[in-house]
Amino acid sequence: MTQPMDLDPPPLLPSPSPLPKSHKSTPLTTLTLPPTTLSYASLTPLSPSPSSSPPPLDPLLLKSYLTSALSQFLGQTGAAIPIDILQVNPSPPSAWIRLPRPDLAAFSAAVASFGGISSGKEKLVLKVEAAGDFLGALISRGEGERDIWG
Amino acid sequence: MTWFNGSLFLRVYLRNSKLKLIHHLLSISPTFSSQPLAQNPRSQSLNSPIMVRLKDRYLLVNILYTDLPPSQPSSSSSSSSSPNTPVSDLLRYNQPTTTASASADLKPQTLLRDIRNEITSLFGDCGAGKVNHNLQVKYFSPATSTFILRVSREHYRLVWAALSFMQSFPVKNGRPCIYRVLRVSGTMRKVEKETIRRARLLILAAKEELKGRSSSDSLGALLRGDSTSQQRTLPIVGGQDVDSASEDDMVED
Repeated sequence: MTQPMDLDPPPLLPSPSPLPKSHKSTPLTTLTLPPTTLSYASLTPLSPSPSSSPPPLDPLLLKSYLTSALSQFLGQTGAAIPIDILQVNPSPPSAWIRLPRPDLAAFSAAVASFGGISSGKEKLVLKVEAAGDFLGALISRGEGERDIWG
Repeated sequence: MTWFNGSLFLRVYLRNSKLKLIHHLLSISPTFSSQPLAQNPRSQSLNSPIMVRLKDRYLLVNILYTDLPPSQPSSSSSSSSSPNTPVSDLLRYNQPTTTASASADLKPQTLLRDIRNEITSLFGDCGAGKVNHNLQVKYFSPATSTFILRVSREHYRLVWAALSFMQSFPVKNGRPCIYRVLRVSGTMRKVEKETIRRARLLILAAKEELKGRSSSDSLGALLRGDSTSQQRTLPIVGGQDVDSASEDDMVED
C-alpha cells in the first residue's frame, strides 16, 4: 500500500480581507459631439517623376481643377458644391479646403478618380492627403507637421 | 494573464463577427436589387439562404407641350366662331406626340437616351452609374403622350429631378415640353391601372369642356386624383411627393 503522497498541506492563507469594493465610477457629465457642418481636406500634387518638380499651385488653378473633377464625377450638382479654399502654399505645394460635411465622401471620390489637368507638358494631379471633420486633428497629417507627428 | 486576454479577445472577435454577419445579411437585399442578374432577373439565387425580391419603382410620366398659341376664351364657344372642329383646351395641352416629318423618330430609345444624357449632365458619372443599369422605358404611347419608366428604388428621385430639367422633346428641333410625373408605384400593375384611369377621365373631361360646362367633375377628378373606386391611390398633386408603393402592392402580384 502506497503511502499517500505526502503533499504539503496547502498553505494556510490568511483570510483575505474583503477588498474595498471599487465603486463604479459615475460619470459626472457626458457630452456627445454633434456632427459638424463643415469638413476639411488637404490636397497635394502628385509629382509624376522624382526629378521634375510639381507645378506651382495657386487658388485659381486649384478651383478650376476641382470644378473639372467634380463636374466629371458628379455633374452640375457636383460643380455646385460650395468649396472654400482656406490656404494654398505655393511651395511645397499643398492646399487646405473646406466643404460641407455631407459632400466630403463624394468629393474625395471625385478627386481620387480624376485624371488631372494638363497644361502643355505638365500634368497636375492632386491627391487627398487628409480629409475629416476636425481640422485640428488633420493638421498633423499635413505638409508642415508630418515630420513632427510621424 | 495571457490566456485571459486571449479569451476576451476571442469573445470580442466573435461578437464582432456576429455583428458583421448580421450586417452582411441585412445588406444583401439592396445589393441584390441593384445588381443586374443577366440570366433570369426574377429568380432567387439558390446559394443565398435569404429570399430577396428585386424592387423597382415605376414612374408614370406625362408630356405636356408648352408652345401653344394663347387659347381662345372658352366663353366664345369655338363651335360657332371657328370653322374647324373645336378642340378643348385640355386636349390641346395633352396632345398626342407627333412630329411633322416621320413618326419613326418616336422610339422609346430616343427618350431613354435623352434621359440618360440629362442624368449624366446633372449628376455626373456617379449619378449615371447609380441608375443606368435599371433605367428602362417600359411603355410609350405617342397618342396620349405618356410613358412609363422603370427606375431603381433607391434613386428614383434622381431620375425624377432629371425629368424636371428636361425642356424639349428629344428629336431634332423638338418642341418644348415639360415632363410631369403623375405617379410613382412599386408595381407595374398599379401604374397601368392609373394610366387607363387617367385616359378615361381625360376623355370625359374634354367632352364636358366642349359642352361648355366650366366646373366638371371629371376634370376635377383628373387634376385632383380622386377616385371613388380606388381608395388607396395617392397620385402626385402639385409637386407633393407621395411614394405610394407599399409591401401590400407587392403581394398583389
